[in-house]
Parts: sequence; structure tokens; C-alpha cells
Amino acid sequence: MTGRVRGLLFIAALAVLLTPAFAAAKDNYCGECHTAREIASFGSLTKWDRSIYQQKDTLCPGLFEFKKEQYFTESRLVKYNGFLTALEEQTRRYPEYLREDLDHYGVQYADLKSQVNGMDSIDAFAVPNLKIKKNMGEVYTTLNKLREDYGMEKVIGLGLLAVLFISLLFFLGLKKTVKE
Amino acid sequence: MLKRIFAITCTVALLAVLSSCAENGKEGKSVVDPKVVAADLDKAGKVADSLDNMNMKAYELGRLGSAMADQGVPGASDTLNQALTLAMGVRTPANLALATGLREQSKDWAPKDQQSIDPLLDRITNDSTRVWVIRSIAEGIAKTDKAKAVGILEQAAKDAQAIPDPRYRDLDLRGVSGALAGLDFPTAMSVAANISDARIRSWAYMEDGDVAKADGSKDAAQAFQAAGDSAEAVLKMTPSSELITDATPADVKAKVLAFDEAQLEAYAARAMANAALAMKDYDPAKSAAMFTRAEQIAESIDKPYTKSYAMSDVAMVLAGANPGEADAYASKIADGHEDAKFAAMMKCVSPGAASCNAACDSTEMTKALSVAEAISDPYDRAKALELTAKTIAACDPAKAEEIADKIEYTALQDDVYAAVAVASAGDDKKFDKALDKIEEPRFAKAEAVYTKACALDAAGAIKEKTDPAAALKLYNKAASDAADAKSPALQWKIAVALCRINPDKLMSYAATLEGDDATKADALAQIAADWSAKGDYRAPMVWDMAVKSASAVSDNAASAELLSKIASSCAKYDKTRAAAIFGKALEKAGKIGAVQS
Repeated sequence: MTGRVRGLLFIAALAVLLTPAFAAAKDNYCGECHTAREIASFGSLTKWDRSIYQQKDTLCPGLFEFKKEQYFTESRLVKYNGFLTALEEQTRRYPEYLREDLDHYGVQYADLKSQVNGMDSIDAFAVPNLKIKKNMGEVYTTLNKLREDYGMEKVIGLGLLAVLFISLLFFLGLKKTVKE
Repeated sequence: MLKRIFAITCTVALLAVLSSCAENGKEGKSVVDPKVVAADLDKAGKVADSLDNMNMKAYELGRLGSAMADQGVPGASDTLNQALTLAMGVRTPANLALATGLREQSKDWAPKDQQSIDPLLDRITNDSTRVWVIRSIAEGIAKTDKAKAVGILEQAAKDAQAIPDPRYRDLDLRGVSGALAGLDFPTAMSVAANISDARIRSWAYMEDGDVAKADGSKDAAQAFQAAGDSAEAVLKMTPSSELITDATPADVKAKVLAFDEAQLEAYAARAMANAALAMKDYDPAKSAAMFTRAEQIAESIDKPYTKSYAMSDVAMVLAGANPGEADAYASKIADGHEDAKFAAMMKCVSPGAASCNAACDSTEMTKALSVAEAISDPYDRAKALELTAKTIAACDPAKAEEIADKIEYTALQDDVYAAVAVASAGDDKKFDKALDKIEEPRFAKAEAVYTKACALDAAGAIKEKTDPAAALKLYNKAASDAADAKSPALQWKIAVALCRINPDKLMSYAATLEGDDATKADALAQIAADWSAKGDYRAPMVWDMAVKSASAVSDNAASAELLSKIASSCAKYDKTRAAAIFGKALEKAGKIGAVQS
């Protein structure tokens, strides 16, 4: 029961943490809730001034959806670059194609972000951003596969070394036995 | 013996039958013919799509009509009336009855089929009952006929009361109240008073107050006071959560509700702080009392994270009235919540400083920086350091670079170096030195080059006023970097600047630059506006190029909206051409929802 309670609490906390007050109102157009005068006074939507965990408490569900999308893509872009750097340092291999892909998606995202203030709906940002997120996801999958492959190679390499060592010992032992 | 065997057999058979019924119940086998289910699903889908398209068309026509009214272009009233007729056509009782009927029928369906039809029926119900499109159209009508607009909005407020979903009901009432605020303030206030959710009600009063303030009316104070009263009423709301079902255990339910209660307190604190800031210009003593109340509410929250974020939000608003007090309040945020503390402290830096130098040297900045370094989440820490560095880049570039060196992520570091470079745009050596800090890796250098291109473009904009020749060099470098970064949007943005200084380049850019039609259209419209302002005889040709690109956008709604923006921009210089462009926009709006061939 305790495990179930914990599990439910975790899901509840996660959902509430990442869900605004008017959660099911997944309204798309800013004009659904805001007058034209309000929309004209929005200012820059891409400016960062607080963490996403603080942003979740905003009154406007549309703004929160937008900030969530922004946070996810931007943080993944910088973190995946960090993971690639760590992989390169660990394995001494340089998968430039992955780095270039991520770089290209970074520029695509920067272009998308530069057009935000002319958008009048969440979908106008979220739909192209979804494509970028999907592409980044593929990079992450490949990155993980490379990590796994490296781990496997390490194991196989160590195994081969062990086999060679044992074979050497066996050979030496056999040689000594034959001499005798 | 035989009797026993018989009894056991009967028992087993009975159990088998009972479990089979339970299995059937679990699988939710429908008693309805699958063909009927499929037909109803198809019907619901078609009706939902059709109503969405009609609403979209009405909304876009309303926006077009409003833009035409703004520019004094003939045909605005007709367009708005057409939009209104269309919007009212969506809200017929027949559509609502269809949704209600299908919902009743689908009660016998399997859960899986019910889950398929419910969203479609919700869409039909929302389209048939919500009034936001009519409200939006009325805002346009108000530009030429205030009395008619008030009548439409009053009717919309009455119709909104009948919206079955309480959330949409309140949101639509809020929109109607906001639209009425500039036309009939007492009616706007009475519409806002009918909003049942205190959070949305407070938000509505704030909007009404802002409109009244912009009109220079003293009624604004009344609205802000009402916003504060509604904020207090949020504390009396009953906590609830969509996560709770009949199967939720009691202790879990209690914990979820306790969390929701904390959320309500946080909303109340924020709403009270916003009302207090607005009240400052009308009644400073009341404003101070409201701020004190907001602080009390935030501090009374017992969930530590919700409390710290609520306190931070209150401090951020308070910084607009009294940065010193806000800073002191932000310092009360508990340790372990440095992200909340930082957000509040940075707000105290910006309004408090009379100049950039004052911001750099202030104790608030020093505190904010040390708090930023203590944020535990690496990404949030990096963003906080980036914000701090960018704030002081203009007055203390060395310090900004020192902060940038602490940022773990190269992309964010490069943004700071770019900001330092732009701040040093007046001095070529300093600019180049700062820009050189952005390293271009051997592979995958597009992002770094993009950042450099943006910095060069911004520096060019600064130089353009005093030294167009130097600006042209910077823009050319920026264009080359944007091409290396393979960014069509940035290339077009720089092309706009280049064409201002060197108009002869336009044709080569138009021929060689890639990019989607929307980006092209937007850039060409800006170029056309610049050339029209200078009286260049080639401006009409560029307007035509912009219109051609905007018309080529495949999404009719987006194309109509783009054409409307181009027409509004053109109207300042050539009303006849603008009217023709609006005509094209109307054609596109008329095709919204039509099947693309």
C-alpha cells in the first residue's frame, strides 16, 4: 500500500507540478481568452526570467504550454551537447555527424524562436517545435546506442584479454608439462 | 458421492459463468452494432471539423475587418457583419442538440469507443456554446459602431452563462468583460462579477482596471479594489483536482487536496500583489496594505516549494513599487530555493538602478549573482548566470565575461559574449575582441556562427544611425555568417537591413535566398515599408512581391493573416493598394476549411 501511495503521490506531484490550474483548457489561440488589446501588450514571450518550475504557476495555460515547449527544447539542446562531449572524452571517438545534426536543430530552433512574437496560437510554435524535438530524440537514441556499444566493446575487449591471458597460462603450463 | 460431484460441477459452472460476465464487463463489450458506432464517430468527426473551420473563418474575418477598420479601408463593416453571421451560425441549438444526442447514445458504448467520441463531442459543444469568436468580432465592430458592439457583447455575456463547461464559461465572461471595459465600464464590471472562479474574476477585474487606466478613468481604482477582493476570495475556494477519482485512496486524496489548497493560496498571493501594484497610483496606503496581505498569504503556505515560488512572485511584483522592500522580502525565501530567490532579486536590480553602472555596482546585483551560483539545477543555474551577465554586459564587460566563463553550456556562454560584443559596438577593437571569444568548432559550428551573425546584425543596427558605411560592412559579414549557419530567417532579417542601405541588392537576395513563403513575405513587406518611407519609386514592386509570397502560403488562415499585416503596413503609404491587399486577404479567409487540391 505504501509503495502504491508513493507511486500515486509521485504521479500526482508530477502532474500538478507540470499542469497549470486550468489544465484541461488546452486552448490554442491567444484570442480565445485575451482581447486584442491584451495580446498587443504581451511583450517578448521568449525572455527568461524564472525557472520553469516557477513558471508553472502562471495564470495563463497557453503561456505555460509555450514556456514548457521552450524549456524542453532549449535544455535538451544544451544537455545533449554536454552528453556528446562526455561521450567523446570517455570513448575518444568523435561522432561528428551527431554533433552536426544537433547543431543544425539548434539553428532551426533559433529561427523558430525569432518568429514567436508574430504567432497567434500555441500550435504555431508547438507544431514546428515538435519536429525539432523528434529529431533531437533520434540523436539521443543514437547517442545512447553508442554508449551501450562502447560498454559492450569494453566488456568484449576485457573478455578477450582475459581469454588471451588464460590461453597464455595454459600454453605455458602445457609447455612445462611436455618438457617434463 | 454422486451428489457431491454434482454440487461441485454446478459450483464450478456457476463460477465460470460469473467470471465470464466479469470479463465481458472488463473488456466493455458494447451492445451496440460496431457499424453504428463507426458511423456516429465519423459523423461527429465531420461535424466537429466543420464547426472548427467555420469558427476559424469567422475569427479570421473578424480580425480582417478589425484591421480594415483601423486603416479606414472601405468594406470593414461588411466584413465584420459577414464574420458575425458566420459565428452565430456555428452557435445553433441544432449543433448542441446533436452533441447531446450522441453523448446520450454513446453511454452504452465500450469505454474505448467512448474515449474516441468524447473529445469530438466536446469540440462540438464548445464550438456551439462559446462566445469568444463573437466577442473578438465585437471588438472590431466597436471601432466603427460602439453602440452595436455593446449590444452584441451584452448578448454574448448572457449566452456565455449557458456554457456547460464552467471553465470556458468563466474565461469567455472574462473576455467579454475585457472587451466591454473600454465601451461601458459599469456593464463590464457587472459581467466580471458573474464569473464564479475567483482567480479568473480577479484577472478580469485587473484587465478592466487596465483598460480604464489607459483611458485615464478613475474607475480603474474600483476595478483594482475588486481584483484584490477577488484575490481574497480565492482563499475560500474549495480545493479540487482532476486526478481524484472514486478509486483514489483517502490518504492520497487528502495529500492531493492539500497540495491544491497550497496552489490556491499561491494564486491568491500573486493576484493580491498584482492588484496592489495597480492600486499604487490611486491609493498608496491601500496599495501598501494589499502588498502586506499578499506577503502574509505567501508566507502562510505550508508546502515549501509552492511557498518559495509564491514569495518570489510577490517580491517580483513588489519590486515595481518598492525595490528595497522587495529585496528584503526576497531574502526571507528559505535556503534550498535559490531559483526563486534569484528571480525576485534580479527584478529588484533592474527597476532599482538609475543607470547601468548603478545596476552593476549595486548590492542587489552582488546578492543576485551569489544566489545564481548557488542554484542546484545546472540548467537553471546556467540561465541565471546568463541573465546576470547580460544585464551588466553594457557597463562591465570584463565582469560579464568572467561570469560567462562559469556557465557550463557553450551555447549560453556564446550568448553572453555576443551581448558583450553588441554592448561594445561603438568601439571596433573591443567589438572584434568580444566576438572572437565565440569559438567556432571545426565541426558543427552553425550555432556559433548564428550567434555571431546576430551580434553583427545588432551592431550594424547601432552603427547605421551614425556610420552607414561601417554598418554595411557589418551587415555583409552578418549575411555571410547567416548563410554559413544555413538560417533562412536570419538571412532575410539581415537582407531587410542591407536593402535599407543598399537597395540595389534586393533582386539578388530575392533570387538566391531560401526560406519559406511566410518568412519571405514578412521580410519583403518590411523592405517595401522602408522604401515607401523614403519615397523610393520601386516600393510598389516590392509590395507586390510581398503579396505574392504571402498568397503562396499554403495554410489559408496564416496566408490571410499575413496579407492583413502587409495591408496594414501598406495603408500608411498607399491606401488603394492596401485595400486591394485586404481584398486578397478576404479571398484567402473565405477559403479557410476548404479542401486543398
